[in-house]
Amino acid sequence: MIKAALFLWVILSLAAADVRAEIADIKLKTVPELSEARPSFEPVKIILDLLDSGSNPVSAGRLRIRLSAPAPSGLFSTDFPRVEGTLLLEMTLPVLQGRVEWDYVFPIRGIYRLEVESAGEQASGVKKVFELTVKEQRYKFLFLATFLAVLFLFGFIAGRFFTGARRKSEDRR
Amino acid sequence: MEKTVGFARGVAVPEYLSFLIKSWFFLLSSAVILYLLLAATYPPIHDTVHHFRHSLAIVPCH
Repeated sequence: MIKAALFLWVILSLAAADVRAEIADIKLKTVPELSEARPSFEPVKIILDLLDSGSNPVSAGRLRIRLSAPAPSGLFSTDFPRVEGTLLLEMTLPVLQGRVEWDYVFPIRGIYRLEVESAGEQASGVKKVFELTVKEQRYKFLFLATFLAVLFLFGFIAGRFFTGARRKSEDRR
Repeated sequence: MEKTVGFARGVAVPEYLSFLIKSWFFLLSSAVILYLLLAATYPPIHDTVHHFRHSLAIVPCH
């Protein structure tokens, strides 16, 4: 009888400790690393580790997530300007074994804003904002440089062609 | 006396006018081709050059 009561007490204590566990810190990790991630290429696994005040994983809870696209830059547009500065994701995900994760394909280059906030019954009001920098694919800048070089060369040749007759007649004088 | 050049079959125009017409024609056709290539929203054209536009990094496609 005493053993059963003790067992029940231990179980209830653990459960109570679990409920009291509040999110103290949120850590972000991505696979692959953000420096390797490229827009409209392969999915990036975004992992949020939720830790309590003792740096242990929080066992349960929910997380409210908002992901905003990079703001439009004044000079050069991206190839997908309709997305710039818009809200891309707004969702609430359950915490499983101290972790929230999902796969995402970033549509454009730039600095994304990821707002994370604890939600639900165990919400302790922890809110964190992450800035995720996604670089453009290198081959696109190479294509752009090649295209501009071809345009410049075409303009140069056309200029020589149109002024050829005039230059010849001036040389004869 | 103003120098004339053969502009088209049986048509002679002053050299400066020939240069002006040819260069304007060239600039106009270049502008039209660039517009079709980089900015036209007409679906058949857009669909044809869609990948090309996206591969130039700074050309807005949609």
